Amino acid sequence: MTCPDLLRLSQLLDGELDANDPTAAHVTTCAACASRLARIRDAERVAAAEPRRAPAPETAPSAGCLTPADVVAWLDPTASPRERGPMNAHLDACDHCLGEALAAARTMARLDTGPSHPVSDVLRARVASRWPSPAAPRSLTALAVAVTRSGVRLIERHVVAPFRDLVEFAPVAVAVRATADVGTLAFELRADEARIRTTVVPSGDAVAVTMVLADAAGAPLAAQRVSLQRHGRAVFSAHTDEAGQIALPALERGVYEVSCPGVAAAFRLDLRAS
Amino acid sequence: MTPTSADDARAFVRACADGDGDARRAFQDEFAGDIYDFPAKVFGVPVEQAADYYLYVFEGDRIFTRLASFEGRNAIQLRTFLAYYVLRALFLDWQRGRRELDTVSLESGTSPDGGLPLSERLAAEEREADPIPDGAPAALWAALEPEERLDLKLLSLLEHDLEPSDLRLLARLARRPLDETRALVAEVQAELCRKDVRLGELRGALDSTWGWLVLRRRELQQTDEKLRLLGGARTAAAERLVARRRELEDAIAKRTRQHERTLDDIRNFKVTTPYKDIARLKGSTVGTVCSRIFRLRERLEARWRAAEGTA
Repeated sequence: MTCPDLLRLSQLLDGELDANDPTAAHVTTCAACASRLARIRDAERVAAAEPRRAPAPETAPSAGCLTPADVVAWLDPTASPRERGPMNAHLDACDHCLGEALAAARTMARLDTGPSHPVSDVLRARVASRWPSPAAPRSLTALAVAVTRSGVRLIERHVVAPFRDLVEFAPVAVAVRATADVGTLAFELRADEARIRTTVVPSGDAVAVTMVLADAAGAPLAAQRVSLQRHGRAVFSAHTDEAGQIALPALERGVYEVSCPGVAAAFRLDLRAS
Repeated sequence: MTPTSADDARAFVRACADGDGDARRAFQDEFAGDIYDFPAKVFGVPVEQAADYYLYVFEGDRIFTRLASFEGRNAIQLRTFLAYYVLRALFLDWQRGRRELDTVSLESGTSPDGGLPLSERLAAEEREADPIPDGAPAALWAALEPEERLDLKLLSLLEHDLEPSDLRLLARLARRPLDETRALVAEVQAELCRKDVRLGELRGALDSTWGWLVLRRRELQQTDEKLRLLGGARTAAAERLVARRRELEDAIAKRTRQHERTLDDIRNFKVTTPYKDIARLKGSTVGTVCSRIFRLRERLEARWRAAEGTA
């Protein structure tokens, strides 16, 4: 093959040639063409460096310049052409405002590019802890459990939608520690779409709580997020395992709000010492 | 919470500024990702510092105080206002505070450059790259016609931000209003950014495959050495080593092919703007774009050769 002309080399540089075009293969074997390609790249790199080395000077705003509200409206794809028309006229003559609008557009483009990093629940909770706690919703199902060192007992129940029923199961002796004399409280909150079976076991000064989420037919609901809040602050959040089960961390005695967003259910669990 | 009307958006912002806990929680739910990602995505700051910035903007209600001046009409405008007028200003304040702390350090006299915008970092990298003859960039650039300069910028739209004069020229050439031109440029840039992210992923995959290969080759060497020390004895341990050796060779061959494929993908990856997109932006044809870029390179090559000759 004879050496390709600059037109083909130029297309090769920009990836505009067909995959089976012989130019790319030729350049890998022809020193003259490879060197020419390198020279073009150098020239282009050097020329293109100039606008970055000497960016256009910033210009000052004038009295008739656009407000931030105008700039964000101009960038809004849902704004009507009629809305943007007068701004176009100003931007056509004002370097300051057009520069500002382009910079804002660049910021948004960068923000929309690439993968986002998840914000941890702990960080969110730390920030939210400075804000007034939400008023406790009056319609939330509330369960109060008396906890002693040796046993547990449901002492108050207030079941509201989405739950329609609460079924308490006969206590089963569970030995958390061989030496401890403990009792177990097991109950099931039933909604139309889901059932949440909760087991509460006192364990020294703490309380162990295990939950099993199932659908109305009793099939386990895996990978369901369960969150725990105390005084409006998130203290725990995790997903149920394949058996629909989740073991909450050892809880201090107190009032907790348990949320299961996947089944649109939440209830307040008051673990009080007695 | 996604405010849909002007009243909604402004009422939402007012509620946040007035300390309404529910509104603030809704605000956090809606914009936590943007706030957290802002320093890394917009200013290239290491993502490890994102949590510090996140806490800083909420500290003393800074973000809500600045947001209170929002007068836009919907959630889209609120997000743009938040990013460009609030988060950017807070980022610069945050960086100033950090720089003051940095200067008291006796360990290092330099301040971190992580906070520089991408364009400034690119410029700094250019300065550190291969030496360029004094005045060469300015001379090459000055020799180009305004439309040629625009062509060069359009060709590498990922690296170049269009200046107001560029956008006006582009709008005039394509006979489009400024807002439509800007939206079209943004669309092309977004596609290039996606390609750039994909390229970054390919490079990451290449690094990880290479790391794997280095480790396994080392293990293969160690296995060979152990077999050599056993001196051809036909023991169970030797057989296990031979089997392991075979496994390693197969795995290395497979990964080497994968490494070569990724390398090829990277070599063939172009993040220059496709001619069809430049043609769309300029309201022109692919053929015209192709020939304009060729002629531009012809001129640049001639001038570069002349500059090299005189250097």
